[in-house]
Amino acid sequence: MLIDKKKLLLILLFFGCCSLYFTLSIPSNSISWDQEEAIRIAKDILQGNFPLHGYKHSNGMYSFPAFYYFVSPLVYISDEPMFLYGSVAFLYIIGVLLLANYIYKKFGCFECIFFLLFSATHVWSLFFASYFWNPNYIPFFMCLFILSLAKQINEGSSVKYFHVSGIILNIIVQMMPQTIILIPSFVFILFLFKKLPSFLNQIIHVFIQLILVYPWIHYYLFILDWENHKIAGKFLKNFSAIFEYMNFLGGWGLTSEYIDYAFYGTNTYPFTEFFDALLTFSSILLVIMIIFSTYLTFSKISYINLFSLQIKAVNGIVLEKQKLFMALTILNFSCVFFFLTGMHMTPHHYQFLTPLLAFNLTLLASFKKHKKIITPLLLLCILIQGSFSYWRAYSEYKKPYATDIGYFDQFTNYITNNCNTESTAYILDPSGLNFFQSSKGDHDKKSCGKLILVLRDHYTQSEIIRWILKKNYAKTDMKFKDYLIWSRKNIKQHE
Amino acid sequence: MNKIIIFFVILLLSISSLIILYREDISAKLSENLNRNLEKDWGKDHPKFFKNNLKVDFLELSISWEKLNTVAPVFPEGHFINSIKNIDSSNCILEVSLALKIKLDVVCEEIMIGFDSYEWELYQNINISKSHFILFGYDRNIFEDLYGKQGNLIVTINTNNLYINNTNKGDYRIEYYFQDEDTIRININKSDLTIKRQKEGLNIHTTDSEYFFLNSNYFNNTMKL
Repeated sequence: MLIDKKKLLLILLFFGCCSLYFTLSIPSNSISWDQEEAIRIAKDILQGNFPLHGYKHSNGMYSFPAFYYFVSPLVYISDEPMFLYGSVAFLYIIGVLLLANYIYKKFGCFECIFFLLFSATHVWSLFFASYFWNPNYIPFFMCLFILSLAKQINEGSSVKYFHVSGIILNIIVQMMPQTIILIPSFVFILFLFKKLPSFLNQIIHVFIQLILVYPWIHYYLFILDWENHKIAGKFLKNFSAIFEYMNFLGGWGLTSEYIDYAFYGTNTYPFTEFFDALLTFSSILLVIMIIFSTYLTFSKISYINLFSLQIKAVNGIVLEKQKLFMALTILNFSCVFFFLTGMHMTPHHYQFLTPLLAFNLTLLASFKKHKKIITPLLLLCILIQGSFSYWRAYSEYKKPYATDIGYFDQFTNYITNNCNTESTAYILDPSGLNFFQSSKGDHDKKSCGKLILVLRDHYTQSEIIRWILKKNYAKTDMKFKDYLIWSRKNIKQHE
Repeated sequence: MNKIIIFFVILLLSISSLIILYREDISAKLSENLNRNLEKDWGKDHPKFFKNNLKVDFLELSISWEKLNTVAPVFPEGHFINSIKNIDSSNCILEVSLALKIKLDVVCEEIMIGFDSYEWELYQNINISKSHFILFGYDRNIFEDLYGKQGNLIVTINTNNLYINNTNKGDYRIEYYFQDEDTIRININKSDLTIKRQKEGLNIHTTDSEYFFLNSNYFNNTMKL
């Protein structure tokens, strides 16, 4: 069988772009408690201790165990952070390519190009795919879910895919409990397209779901010491969900160096305001297109009675495409639940939207009637998102932290090769002065004393940092990546 | 439509009547709860309150007290909070005004504040505290907590006698509100002052000077990453 050259070229281009992004950004990621704990639990599984739950979330609830069982084979291969972080990126690429292959086959080259372009540029999607964390594998599973859903609503026999979709949804929910809102939307989609399986199959599926989450339920019902169990979170918190939804679309949250629930974002100094404005603009454009999608979808649903809804076919659009477009819009629309309930949301909670949005907007742009307006708008968003994403990746590569997974060893070697054991390195950043590490260098190396590492950006940004350094330290000729290295004044004078 | 309006009017009247009928009981219960919460020991990181004759009036939306003394918690030496020894107030009434932003008006006969003196080091135009510091994680949480509780309030404090370290400074009017989650704007007798939370610590900006309390780990540098 001949390989379609156009398809192969698209795959290679997508793979090349993503590889560039991840090669630049993965080594510049940090490792923190969540990652170390996940690796520890996965190792426990490999040793035959099968946990019923994962680590505790910040709200006091224990996480579901599926993620740890899923990553334990990966940890068996290697527990190196670079490998595990890379596995998220690899699965993201695989998931997107599987879905792109389906789009190419079913709808053609135009749709496939837009889907791949969106997936290779979206700010938050690429960011989350570059490090190891429970919710970050969701886009991969979401791609599988959409594939299964597409087959289910557009193919004759749907029972097999019903169970497959349900199981994938269960895994997604275990990785991020907020995605539970996908379940009623999924049921509604099946009801709308009259694809609900027989009652017996529905009952069987409820049992499948219960079996999959039983370890966690068992722990909460029979093992947990409820008297000493404190839940910090509350259901209704604020109405930030809309704001965070727009943040997920546009990616403006990543223009800050310090962000919630991730060790750090991006130091965009001195372009912060420019990027904020740019990404906010793309966010507004995307919201407009999503609202239009929602209008198109719901205007094509007719109410017959409580047990029957009907969809109106649109002239000039293949029914298969229209149904899939409507299904994706309904899944996206389920986010309204977050807005109405006032759930506390942050961008990582919206990761299930990653392939969904790309596919949904791609289909919208392919509708003949709206092509002329939607296509340039979508291209503009892709251009804005891509510009920031790849600028960000390059900036992370040029200005990493010495504590990052790809640079920690490099810095250790640097200090070992240049300084003896009497030397210590500290990192000075806006939050203060923190111990980093002592040199393990031989005695024949020179004593560097107390070294202070300051990122050039922090030095420029903070008057306090400049005051501390000028008062107590002298600049050395040593250089590591974008760090300026200073040492105690008396050491320098002594030298 | 008319039936619905009549239903809501009756419901509103019933609730209002119940509130008027039981105003004494509701106020007594609220006073009891507030007194209990102030008496509770919330731990060594929290301030302690000593009060006398603190009462809530539910209908008037007000709280009055004869004495309310606040003693700041004790932290490691040099901590900024330690510099505030006490805040005592007597014969006060706090009234709540419901508007787009809830307004709290506090009128006191006397407020006494005692605090340590600070040592400063001048760098360019910033006075950096040499004697008192901020705890990076802890104080950020205090600020966030305060913003969570008072982010939508405008607080006005009026007193005839403001004592600072036992010296009577006379009549004072203080108003403050959160400009955003990092900034408190304060007006003291028509002079503006801004307290801003920064990564480096706490910045206090007045019309003619700038003050800075640094994070303690600028100095206590043995903290491991």
